[in-house]
Amino acid sequence: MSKQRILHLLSIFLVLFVLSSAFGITAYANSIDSFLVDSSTRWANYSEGVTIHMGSKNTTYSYSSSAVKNTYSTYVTTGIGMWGSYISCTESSSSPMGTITVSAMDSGATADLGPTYYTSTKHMASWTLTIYSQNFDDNADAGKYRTIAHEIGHAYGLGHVSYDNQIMYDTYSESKNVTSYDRAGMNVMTHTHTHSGSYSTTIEEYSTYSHKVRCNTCKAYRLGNCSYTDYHSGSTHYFVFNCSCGNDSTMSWACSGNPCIMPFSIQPSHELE
Amino acid sequence: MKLKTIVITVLFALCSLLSTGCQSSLISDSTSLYQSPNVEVTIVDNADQIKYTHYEWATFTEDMAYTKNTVIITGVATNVRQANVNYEYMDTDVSDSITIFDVDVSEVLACRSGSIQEGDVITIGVGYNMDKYGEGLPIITEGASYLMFCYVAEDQENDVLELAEYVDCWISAPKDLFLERVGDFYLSIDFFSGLSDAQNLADYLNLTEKQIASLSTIAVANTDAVDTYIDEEIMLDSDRIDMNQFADALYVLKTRTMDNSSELWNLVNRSYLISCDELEEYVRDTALAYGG
Repeated sequence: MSKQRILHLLSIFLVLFVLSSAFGITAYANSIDSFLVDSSTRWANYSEGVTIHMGSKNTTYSYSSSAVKNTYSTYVTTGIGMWGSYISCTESSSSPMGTITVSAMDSGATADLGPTYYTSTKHMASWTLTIYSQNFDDNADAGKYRTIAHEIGHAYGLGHVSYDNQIMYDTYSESKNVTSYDRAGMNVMTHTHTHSGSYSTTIEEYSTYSHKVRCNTCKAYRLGNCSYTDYHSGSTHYFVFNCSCGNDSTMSWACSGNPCIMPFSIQPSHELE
Repeated sequence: MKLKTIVITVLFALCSLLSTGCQSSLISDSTSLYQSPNVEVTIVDNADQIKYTHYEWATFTEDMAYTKNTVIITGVATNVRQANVNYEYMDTDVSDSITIFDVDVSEVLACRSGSIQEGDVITIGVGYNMDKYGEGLPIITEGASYLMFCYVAEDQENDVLELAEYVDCWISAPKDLFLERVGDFYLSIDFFSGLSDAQNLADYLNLTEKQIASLSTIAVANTDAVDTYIDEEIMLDSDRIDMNQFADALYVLKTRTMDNSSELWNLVNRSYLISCDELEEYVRDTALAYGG
C-alpha cells in the first residue's frame, strides 16, 4: 500500500475517530502545566500553557497607606466580591501576599497588576495592584468595581481574553462581568479544578497527527498525538492507532496478501505530506 | 608648629570636601536625570528580562485624542532610556517606570500648543518600560519610526510627576496612540480599525489559530526559525512586498507577546496595518476638524 494512501486512510480514520469519540470520558491525569487554551476556551493564563497561577483560593493583601485604603477600599472589597466564593482574597496586616497601591502617572491604564512567582511551583509569591488615579477616579462606581475584579483576576494568574463582555477583557468597561468562562479559568488558577482522575472530554480534530482533547468543564485542552503501525497477519491487514490520550484503536480488513487491497476506493485529492 | 598643624588640618578638610563634592556630583550625573524636593528621576539599566505587567486600559475616544494640548508627530526614536520616577503620593512612596527617548521630528501632523517643528529633536516620555511592560505596547527601539499623539508636558495640570522638567511631551495613550511604523504602514491596535484603508492582520494573512499556535512554539530569539515558518507556512513563499510587510508586522507582534500563543492570536485579530500616507492624511484632516 502506498504511503500516500496510508496517510489518507489515517486522516479518514481520525475523522471517524473524532466523531465516534466525542463527549467521551477520559481518565488521564495531567499536571496543570499541560492545560492549553485557545479562543474556544475563553479564558487565558498569562504564560503559555497554564503555568503561573495562585494554586489556592486564598490570598491576602494590604494597602500601601491609610490614605489609599480610605480612598479605595470600597471599590476593592466590592470588586473582589464580584468573584463570589470562587476566591478568598482578604485584607491582612500579617505578611500579606498582595499590595494595593496608587500612582499619579498618566499611563493610559486604569490599573495594573505586577506579579512575582515561585519558579519551582509556578505559584504566586506576591502581587502589586496599582491604581492609576488619573484614569480611575473619574470613572463610575460600576466601572471601578470591575477594574478591581479584572486586576484580581490577574493576581490569580488569569490573562486577557478577546470577548468584551468578560471581566478579563483588556479595556475598561462598566458592563463587562465575571462570566462562567472567567469562573472556569479561576477554578483552574486556584486548583479547584484539576485534571486528575476521570473527566468528561470532547475530542476535536486538529491535524493529521493530533487532536484536541478538550475538558468539558474548564474548556482547556491538551493535544493528543497519534501514531500508527500496520502489519499483515494471516489473511488480515491491521492498522493500530496509538494516541497519547489513551484512545488506542485497531482497524482491520481482510487482505489476500501482497499487494494489500484496500477496502476503500479513496483517491487522494492532495499531498498529505 | 601650631600654625603648620592648623594649615595641614584646613588643607585636609578642604581636600575631603572637594573630593566628596566631586564624587557625589559624578554619581548624581550618572544616575539622576532630575531632582526636586518632591520628585526624583533616575535612569535605570536596561532590564535583562521583560517582566510583564497586566493592564486594564482606559477607554480612549476621538475627543480625548484630539485636544487643544495634543501634538501629533512622526519621527525616529533615539537615545532611548529607561527611568524611574520616585515621589510621594497619598502617603505612599511611588516609583513609576517610564521610558524617555528623543525624537527627531520628521513631520508635525498637528500642533495647537507649543512650537514644535519638523527637524526639531524633542524629548518624549511614556508610562512604561521594559521592566513594566504590557503585551500590546510597542517596544521602543533606537532608530525605529513611530507616529505618536502626545501632550505638551508644560500644559499638564496637577502634574505630580513634574514632567515638564525632564520631557517636552508625554504619550498618555500608548496602546492606542503610539504607533510603530512597519515598512510603508503603521501598526495600530483597535483605535484606527474603522478606517477604510485599515487592513486587519489576521484577515490579510489568512491566519489561523493553529498557525499562531505553531508559530508560538518557536522561541522568538530563534529568528531564523521564526522567519522560515512565516515564509513557508504563512506567506507560502510569496514575494509580494505588501505581504512581506504584513509578515514583518506579525513578527513585531510575536516579539511583543514573546511566546504566548493566546495573546498573539488575540492581538493579530485586533491589529491593523494602515498605509503611512493614508493615516497621516487622515490624522491631519481630523485634527484640523477638531481645530488643530
